[in-house]
Amino acid sequence: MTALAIPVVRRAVPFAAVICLLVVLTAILAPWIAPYDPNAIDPLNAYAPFSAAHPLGTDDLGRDLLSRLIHGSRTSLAGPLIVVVAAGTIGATLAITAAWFGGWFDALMSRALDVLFAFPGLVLAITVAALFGSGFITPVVALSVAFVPVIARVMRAAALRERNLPYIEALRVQGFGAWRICLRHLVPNLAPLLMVQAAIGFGYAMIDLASISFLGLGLQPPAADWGLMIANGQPSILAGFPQQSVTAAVAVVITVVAFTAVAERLATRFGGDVR
Amino acid sequence: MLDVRDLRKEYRGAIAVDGVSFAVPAGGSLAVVGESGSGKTTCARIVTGLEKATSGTVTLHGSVQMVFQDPYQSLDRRQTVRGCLAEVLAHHGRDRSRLGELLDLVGLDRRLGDALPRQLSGGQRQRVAIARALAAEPQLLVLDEAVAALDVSIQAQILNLLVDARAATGVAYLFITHDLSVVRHVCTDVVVMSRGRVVESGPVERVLHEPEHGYTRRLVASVPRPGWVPRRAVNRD
Amino acid sequence: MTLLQFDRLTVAVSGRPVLRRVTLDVAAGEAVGLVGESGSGKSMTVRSVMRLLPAGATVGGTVRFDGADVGALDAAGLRRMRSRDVAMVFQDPRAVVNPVRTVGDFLTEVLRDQGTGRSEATRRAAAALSEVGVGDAMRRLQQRPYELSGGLLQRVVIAAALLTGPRLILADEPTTALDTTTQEEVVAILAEQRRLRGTTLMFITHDLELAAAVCDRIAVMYAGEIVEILPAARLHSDARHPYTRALLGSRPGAVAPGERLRTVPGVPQSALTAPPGCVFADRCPHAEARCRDVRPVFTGSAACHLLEVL
Repeated sequence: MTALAIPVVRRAVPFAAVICLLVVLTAILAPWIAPYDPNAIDPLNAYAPFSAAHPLGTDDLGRDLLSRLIHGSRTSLAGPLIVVVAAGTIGATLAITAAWFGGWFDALMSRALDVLFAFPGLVLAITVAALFGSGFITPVVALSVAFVPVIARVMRAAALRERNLPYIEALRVQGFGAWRICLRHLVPNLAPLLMVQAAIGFGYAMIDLASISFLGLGLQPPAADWGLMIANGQPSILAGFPQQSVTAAVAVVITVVAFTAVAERLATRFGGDVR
Repeated sequence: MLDVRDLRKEYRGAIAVDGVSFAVPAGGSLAVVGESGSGKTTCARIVTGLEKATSGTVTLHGSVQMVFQDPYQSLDRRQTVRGCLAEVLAHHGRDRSRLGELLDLVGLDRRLGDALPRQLSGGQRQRVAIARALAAEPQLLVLDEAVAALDVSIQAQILNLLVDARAATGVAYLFITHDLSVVRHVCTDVVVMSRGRVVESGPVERVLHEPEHGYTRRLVASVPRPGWVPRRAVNRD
Repeated sequence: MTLLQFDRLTVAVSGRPVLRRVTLDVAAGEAVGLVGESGSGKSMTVRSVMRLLPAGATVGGTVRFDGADVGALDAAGLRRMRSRDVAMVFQDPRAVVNPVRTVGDFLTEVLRDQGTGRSEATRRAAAALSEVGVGDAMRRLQQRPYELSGGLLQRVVIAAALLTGPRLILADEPTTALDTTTQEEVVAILAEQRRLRGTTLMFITHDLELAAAVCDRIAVMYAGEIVEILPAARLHSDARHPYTRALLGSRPGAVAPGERLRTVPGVPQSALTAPPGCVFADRCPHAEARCRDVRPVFTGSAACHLLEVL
């Protein structure tokens, strides 16, 4: 039972897809569509209210918030994208290898992934970032590792099911090698499920990375990043100017909800309970 | 051409196949009949190399292919009919031009070449599966309940096709089935299995008309036919 | 006396036709076999008796059970009919029996719900098991479904169906998943119990010979319509509809070994894909122009334009 069981939510899915597309386009076209340089400081114009010149106002240093939000979409999307691509590739490879060979290899890998799975991804990423230094790369790599078992477990079950279907056995009787059967038949048939997994993981990764940035272990100022903007806007809230934190938080929430809604729709379409 | 000697298969202590021997001559057709759990499918899977026997020997002069029961899962759902057959032809170094002949052989409209499995009926899919199996011109075709999942009228089409294909190509059949009327129609010899063992074997005509073993007699008697009255056996639990 | 009556029953699911003007009277105590291939609508026909139709189904015509319109029953009436008057047996017994409860729980549940005492319910459950040929009934009551073979479990389901003393049993391919020797046993028990109790039976199968052995009359369905109804004893001599004959001729046992089977070209149609005239017109070897354009009226025993000629 997902939120999609509610008709209103189901009807909102095309709308969510449009939002996803807009967010992605914004990230790609950021330098061309942002009205200002996101890092241009204008102390005389700090905490400017909403206006035609600055639709979302400015922050404590007089930087245009809309421009920072637009540029922030790049790292805010790139991080989770790298996480799901890396975790998806590694997870699917491990899963298919385990399902294909079975036996001790499968047993060993499943246990190893269970151990990793027991470790909360966010805690792992925070620990690693604290130990090896903050920035963009470290939390992304740590989170990628943490996401591998999440994806691998679902993919292994699906690969196991697929591997025992008669069409795979027919190919084996034909004399095709394991490598070829996996690459030409197993992987393409599992791809839709992997895409769905990645899309769902994307939302989670985005929240996790924003949290890490918020804690100061991710990207460092003056980078424009949504998680960082929420954190940096905190003192301004007390000063009576909540725009920075609120707009960045709204951007995170809208993007995560939109991506997850589309992912769940794809999941119901391509079958199976994916969580 | 196929000689199976003293086959034995154990799964974690349970014996699935116990001392089974049979042979298929070149161009012959042997049925292995039995009920679920009799070990007939395990034998088929060992002959095609999908499983390894615990002991015993399988001697095969030539190549073997297999047709499976479920036409809905025995084709790659992303592959067109043409793609499926072309891949197999290329793998065995056969000329791609044989594709059309294969479709003709199994009675499939050549225009269906671009169809995906989901656009085909169960009978059509089974024709594709048979074409795929015959593409490499094997000497032996193992048919594992290959008509069991089909509607009666479609089953008849496929059975005729199998009779024709054997006449046209000289391929031998190892027909795994629980349906005695199918055996009578397609095969010349039969092996009756029960609980992992062969209980009776011989020419189809003899075994099905004058069964010697009690189990075979019961099997033959249980097939619905004109004038048949189902009877309750004395406690068989 | 007619116990069950289908009167021009028409069912569509999401606008797609599934059944078309199914008309059939089943007398009390009679056994009627519904025979057809996939998509013929035989399951949907018996399901409509219990109002077990898929969501979005629209129903035209009526189904009457004991004179009462099933479609007009209120919730309480429907529940009473389902629990007391009509029982269903499905193809896969494992899908019907709760896998984690004992056989005894499964058998006594309805009786207990109807107010029978525990020991009385258990006694009756054990007796019902014995009647369907399950030995050592008290031990079986303690067992769970996975400990029983498919054939044994299907007999448990039949025992459960008989327990409440229903007047009608709807059996939907009850032996298709079973081995032939087990099938013989299960249909023998079903036939025997039915005769003993005078229960009415609707038996769905794709096997004409099996239906003929179990039933008094046979209704052959194709593409959502009943195309022929005939007495089971005269199945081979009286079958006149080309489709019934095709079914009889395409069984491997119908011809001498080595002879070609008489096949029907094409694939079984559903009510959605069938031609506008006679539903069998595009596969029928005898079809004429009027067969394709004009829907034949069911007269006497079959719906076919060519009954006089064939």
